[in-house]
Amino acid sequence: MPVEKTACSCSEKLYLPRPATIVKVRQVTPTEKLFELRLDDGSDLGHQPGQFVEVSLFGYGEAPISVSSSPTRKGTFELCVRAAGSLTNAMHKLPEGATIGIRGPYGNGFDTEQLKGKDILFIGGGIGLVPLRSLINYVLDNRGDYGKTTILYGTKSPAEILFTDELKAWEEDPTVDFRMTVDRGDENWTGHIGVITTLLEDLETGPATTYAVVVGPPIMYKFVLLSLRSQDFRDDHVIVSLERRMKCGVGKCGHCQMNSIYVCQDGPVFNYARIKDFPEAF
Amino acid sequence: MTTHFITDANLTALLDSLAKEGLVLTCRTAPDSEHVLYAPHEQGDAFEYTGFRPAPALKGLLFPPQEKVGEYPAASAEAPEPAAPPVVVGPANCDLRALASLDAVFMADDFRDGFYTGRREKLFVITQDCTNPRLTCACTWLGLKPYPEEGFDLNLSQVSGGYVIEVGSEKGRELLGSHSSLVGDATEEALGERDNRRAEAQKALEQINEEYALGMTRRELLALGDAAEAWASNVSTCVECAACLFACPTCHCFLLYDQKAGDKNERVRVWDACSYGGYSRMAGGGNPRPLLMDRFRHRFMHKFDYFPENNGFEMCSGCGRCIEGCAGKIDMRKLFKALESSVNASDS
Repeated sequence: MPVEKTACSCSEKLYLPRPATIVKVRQVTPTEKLFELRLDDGSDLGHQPGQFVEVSLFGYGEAPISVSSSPTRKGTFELCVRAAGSLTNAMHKLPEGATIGIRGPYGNGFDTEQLKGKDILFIGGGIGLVPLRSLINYVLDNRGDYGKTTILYGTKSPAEILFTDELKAWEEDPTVDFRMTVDRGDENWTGHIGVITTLLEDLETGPATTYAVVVGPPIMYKFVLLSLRSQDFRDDHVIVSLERRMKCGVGKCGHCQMNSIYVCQDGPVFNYARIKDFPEAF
Repeated sequence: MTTHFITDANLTALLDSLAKEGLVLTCRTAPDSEHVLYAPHEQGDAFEYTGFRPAPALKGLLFPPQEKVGEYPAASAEAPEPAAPPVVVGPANCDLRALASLDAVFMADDFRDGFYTGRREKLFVITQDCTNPRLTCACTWLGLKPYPEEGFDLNLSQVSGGYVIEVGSEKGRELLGSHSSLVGDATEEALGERDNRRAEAQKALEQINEEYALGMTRRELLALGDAAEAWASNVSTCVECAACLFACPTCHCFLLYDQKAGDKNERVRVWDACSYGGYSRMAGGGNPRPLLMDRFRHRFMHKFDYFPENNGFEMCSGCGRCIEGCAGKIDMRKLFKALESSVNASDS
C-alpha cells in the first residue's frame, strides 16, 4: 500500500458524550424542571457563565441546553429545561439517579473579565433567565470585582416565574437592585404589571459605565434594544445571548450558522455591536 | 514538480501493483450513460481516460452519507478506527479544490474531526487533467483551472502513447520511486502536447462560460439590496429536493441522531441540507430561515460570502454537479448573471 500509516492526533470522541448522573430534580414551573447533575468521572464541568452543553438522552439524541449554575458553585452543575420537544419531554420523566450524556461545555460564554469593574444591568425575559442566572450568581459570588448590579426580570404570567427562592434572595440583597414584572397578572399577583421595557423606563442608568446583559425571546430583544438606545446605551455596551439549533456544538454541522458566524462557537454570547447588522440575528 | 512519462501498458501495471495492496477505484464510463463512475480496478484492466471528473464527489469517501461516529455507554471509550480510503484514480482539479473546503471545516485546529482527518491523511489521489469539459463546467468562471497544480499525489495528462505523470506529493514521489522501472522521462514533445491540450481545455471552458462572465465579484453581487426579482425568478423552480447540496463536493452539513443497538446507543452522522425547512428550526418553534427563499439565498451566501470571509476562498469548485443534478434547471451562473442585470437595470 502506498498509503502512509500516520497516527491521527485528533479526537475520535468529538461526538460522544460523557456520562453524568442526575443528583436532584425540581419542578420549578409547570413546564420547567431544574436538574442538578454530576459528571460520573468526578470532574467539574469547567464551564464559563453563558456556555451550553449538548445533552444526550439514550435513544433520543441530543439537544443544546444552557448551563444555569455559576462555575463558582463547584461539584455539580444545573440545567433548567423546558419540556418543548421529544428529548426534553423524555428528560422530564427521568428520576434522580438516572444517567444522561453531556458533551461540552461549548460556546464562548460571557466575558467576565471585560465586565470587571463595570455596573451591570441584567435584563432577562422568560427562560432567558436560565443562562443569565449563571452570570448573575457568578457576579454575586465575586461581588468585589463588579460595580452596581441591577436585575430586571419579566415573564408572561406569574406561573412562569423561575427560581423563586433565588429571586427572593436577590431582592433582599442590599447590593442588588432587583425588579420584576409580568405581562399579565393573576388574582394573587401584587407586583408590577407590564412588559419588561416598562421597568427600564423607571430606571436611572449610567450608560457610560454600565453594560446591559440581555437574554430573552426574539420579540423582547427588539423592544429592549430600542429602549436601551433611547437611554443612550452604546451598542458595544449591550451583550446578548442568542438561541440557535446547535447540533454538533463544534462549528461543523452548519445548523446554527448565522450569516458568517457559527453561534455554537463564536456565540451564543455576542456583543450587540458585532451582530446588529446581521439580518439573521434577531 | 517532477514529471515522468508512463505508457498505457505500464500504467495498467502500476494500477495492478497498487490493487494487490488494497482497493483501487478507477473512473469508468457507466454503460448507456454519460456519467463517469468509480469502479474497483481488476488485474489487467486498462485505465479508461475519461478526461472528465467522475459523477460522485470525493466527499463521500471521506465523509460518508451515513456513518456511526460512536456508541455509548462505551464498552471501550475509543471509536473504531475508520477504514482507510482506497487509492482513487480519476478525480479532476475541481475535486481537489473541494477537498480544500472540507479540510478547512473538518481539520480546523480547535475541533478536528477524527473520522474525516483519519481518512484524509491516508487518501492517495491520482488525478487526471480535464480535457472534455461539459456545458455545466464552471471552474474557469471561478478562476480555477481544469488541471491540478497542487493537492494531488500523482496526476495523469494523456498524450500520444501514454501519459505525462506528474508528482505532486512526497507520497507520490515514493510510489513512483518504488515503481521506477515503469516510468521514463517526459520528453519535451510530450510536455508540449500536454500543455497544448490543457490550453485547449481552458479555452473551451472559457467559451462555455463566456455568457456568464461577471463584471463584479460574486460577493459584491450578493451584497446587493435591490435584487429581489433576480432571486425570486431563480428560486421559483426549486422543489427543495437538496440534490444540489448532496451532489455538491463542498457542502458538509450534517445531522447527528441516536439509534438503539441492543443495550447500547449508536450515534450516527448523516448528511443534511440547509435547504430543508426544518434545518434550523428550534424546539420552541423559532426558525431563522423560515422561507425557501431565505434558505436558497443562504446556500449562495455561505459559499460565496461567509466561507470566503472565514477561509479566504470560495466554497465552490465549479464542478457543475449542482447544475447537472437540479430538477428545476437552476444554474448558479444564471443567478449571478441575473443579480448583475438587476444592478444594471437600477443604474439605467
